[in-house]
Amino acid sequence: MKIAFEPEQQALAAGFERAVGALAKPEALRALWDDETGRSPKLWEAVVGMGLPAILVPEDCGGFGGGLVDLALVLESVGRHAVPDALLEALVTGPVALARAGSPEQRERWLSGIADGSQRVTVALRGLASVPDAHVSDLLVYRQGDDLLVVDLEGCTVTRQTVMDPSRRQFAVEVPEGAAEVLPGSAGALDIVLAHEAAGSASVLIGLSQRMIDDTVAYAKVREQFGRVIGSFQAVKHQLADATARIQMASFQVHAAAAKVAGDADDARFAALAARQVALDAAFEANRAALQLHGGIGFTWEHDLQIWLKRGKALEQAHGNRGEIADEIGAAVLARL
Amino acid sequence: MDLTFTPEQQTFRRELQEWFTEHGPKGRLDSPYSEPGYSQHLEWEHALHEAGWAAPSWPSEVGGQGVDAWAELIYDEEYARFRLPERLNKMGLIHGGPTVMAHGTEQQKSEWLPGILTCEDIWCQGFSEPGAGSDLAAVRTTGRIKGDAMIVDGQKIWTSQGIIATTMFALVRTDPESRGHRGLTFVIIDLRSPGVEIRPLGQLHGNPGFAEVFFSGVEVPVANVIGEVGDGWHVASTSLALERGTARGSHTRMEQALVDLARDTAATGASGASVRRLGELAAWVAAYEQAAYASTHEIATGRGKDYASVIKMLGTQILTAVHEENLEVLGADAEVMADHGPNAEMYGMRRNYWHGRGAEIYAGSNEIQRNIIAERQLGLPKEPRG
Ligand SMILES: Cc1cc2nc3c(=O)[nH]c(=O)nc-3n(C[C@H](O)[C@H](O)[C@H](O)COP(=O)(O)OP(=O)(O)OC[C@H]3O[C@@H](n4cnc5c(N)ncnc54)[C@H](O)[C@@H]3O)c2cc1C
Repeated sequence: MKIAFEPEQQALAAGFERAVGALAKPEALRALWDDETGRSPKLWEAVVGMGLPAILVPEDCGGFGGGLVDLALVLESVGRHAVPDALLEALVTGPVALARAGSPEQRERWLSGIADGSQRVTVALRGLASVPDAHVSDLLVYRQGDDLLVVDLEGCTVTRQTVMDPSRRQFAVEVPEGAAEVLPGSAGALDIVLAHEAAGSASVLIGLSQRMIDDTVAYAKVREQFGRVIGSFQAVKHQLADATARIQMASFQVHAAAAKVAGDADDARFAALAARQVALDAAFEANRAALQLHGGIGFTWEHDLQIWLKRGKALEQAHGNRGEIADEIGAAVLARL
Repeated sequence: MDLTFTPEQQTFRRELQEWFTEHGPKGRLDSPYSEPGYSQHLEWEHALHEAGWAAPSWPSEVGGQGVDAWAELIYDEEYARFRLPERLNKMGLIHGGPTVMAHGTEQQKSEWLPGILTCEDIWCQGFSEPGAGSDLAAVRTTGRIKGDAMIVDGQKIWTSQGIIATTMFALVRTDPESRGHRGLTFVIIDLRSPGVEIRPLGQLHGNPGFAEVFFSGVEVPVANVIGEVGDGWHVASTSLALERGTARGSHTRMEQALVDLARDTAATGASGASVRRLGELAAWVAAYEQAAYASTHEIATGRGKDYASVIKMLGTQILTAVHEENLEVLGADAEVMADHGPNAEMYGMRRNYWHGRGAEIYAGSNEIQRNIIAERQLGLPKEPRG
């Protein structure tokens, strides 16, 4: 058994971490709130420059033929820096859906463009009312019943929605009759795509939760009340310890799920759902503790904590929420009896 | 990352499975605290020992096979999967013996370790005292050194396996002037010595085994001190880390508890709410298994990143939550204890439920684990200490 990430995977993540560390500082994120697109072309250039959209594209379509585990640490970094772009969709679920379910002709048409960054894909597996980043994407993969479909966004009506997180750009998309094509391999691929979504979004949540707690620990070490730093109060320490323990244990499952999904393991889907579930529980607790322990300052518009709080709450719902995922896992456990 | 076991590891697993299938006790053994039960357990322990399966990870010089941390994990998983009897000498196997291996002299290793494997000696842990539980450094049992002997006076309490133990690894205060964790010594006491009195102490779930142990003028050879006189805190910290540390098949037992819960959920007509709860718990049980693997990886690579407190705290909470849900699913029937009466040993899940509640207290209560995580891992200021 080999449970550590490979050196190349760590190096890729470190490179990404450096790039977003420089490009997605809180001031830069705030500046984008008022921007019409809300997206930094430099950041997308960096993503493409590192070859990230090609990682899950098969080699015969111009990609690297990698697996989710190659991007797991990158996705944590996406959460840690609250990168606004819908990268889970652009780098993971979009390429995987087309690669696994697309006809040879569809794969040919879309995937090489995705791999070289000239085409950007977004994904909607749960309805078209709130599709992320439709304004900067070229194509949309979406789910209708048990089918996956692909459509060129140019022909669609795309209406911006107002949302709580000022970094997110969500759109209602109307697909004209006959504009979309069914991906013929949907029946076999849907579960695989959903597993990538669950495990990948869990990685983002882990990075995001760890950031909220890291920042809160740092604050608890300097903020004084009653003549002591608040981090010396056990009521504060224990909340931070609880959140830390959950994040840490959840991250073991999230890493395992990424590897199992990448390796098409028999229990990949179960592992991915479990990863999403525990990451959601950890994120919920981290979000709660982070605001609670910051106190009043954390509730101000001026304080940056809100960047992670709001992203966290949005992502707790975006890819299947706690109740939905738990229902699925529970049913799977009963089915295994 | 490759989460499959290697072919060698799979072979090791099969070898064990075959041996356990052939030699494992067929039915449930009686309680080791009854006469017939004790002999049945001893018989099983001897069978394990003779086949080299008493402690495969121990060095071969002392009767193990020197297998690595992954093989040890596989052993623990299979042992639990086969629902084999709880080890008679678990304190010796899990913390006592390995602490002697880490800090003892060659002489001490050869003197003490074989008896653990043969069960000639049954070990118990004598740390807690009536006034020293969470505040372990408040230990007051004294050990006065007089020539080659140490004279021990005082009392230990909540001693698991105490009523069958022959040997205690204890913390005693050897410097009467000292306070806190200075002046403590880690020593092995033969409980068959004059001046030792072992009084049984009941446990709330009816399982016997617990004891109070009283010492009056007990003579212990100074040669039984592990590490240096006065350095007991340091030695004990090895033992405590082992106690709360690795999983030792607890992830497998947790999965079994989850399967039991799923069966009861299905049998009682699964409601939407109970399926959802089952799903939440199953996710954490899966995560706990990965935590066990992650900590094994740390041991196997010698990096030793410390997940012990996280594993101890969350592991006991998850297990309790699984049992709590099982009580919930069974409803009023949960009170009915199958073939054991209310004053006898509780059976199955109900006993495990209460035992799990105890696990949130022992090996350092979960509050103490939170302090450890906050202070050692997050670097928050230390608790004020008296
Ligand atoms: C089933 C079982 C088996 C045991 N087996 C053994 C054994 O074999 N050998 C042995 O030596 N001991 C054994 N123990 C004892 C065990 O280690 C102690 O019970 C435990 O360390 C707690 O100490 P205490 O009981 O004195 O509780 P106390 O320390 O009095 O604690 C009472 C409550 O106060 C809380 N508390 C105390 N200090 C703090 C703090 N600083 N911050 C926050 N909360 C605090 C505790 O968490 C607990 O909730 C066993 C206990 C049980 C339940």
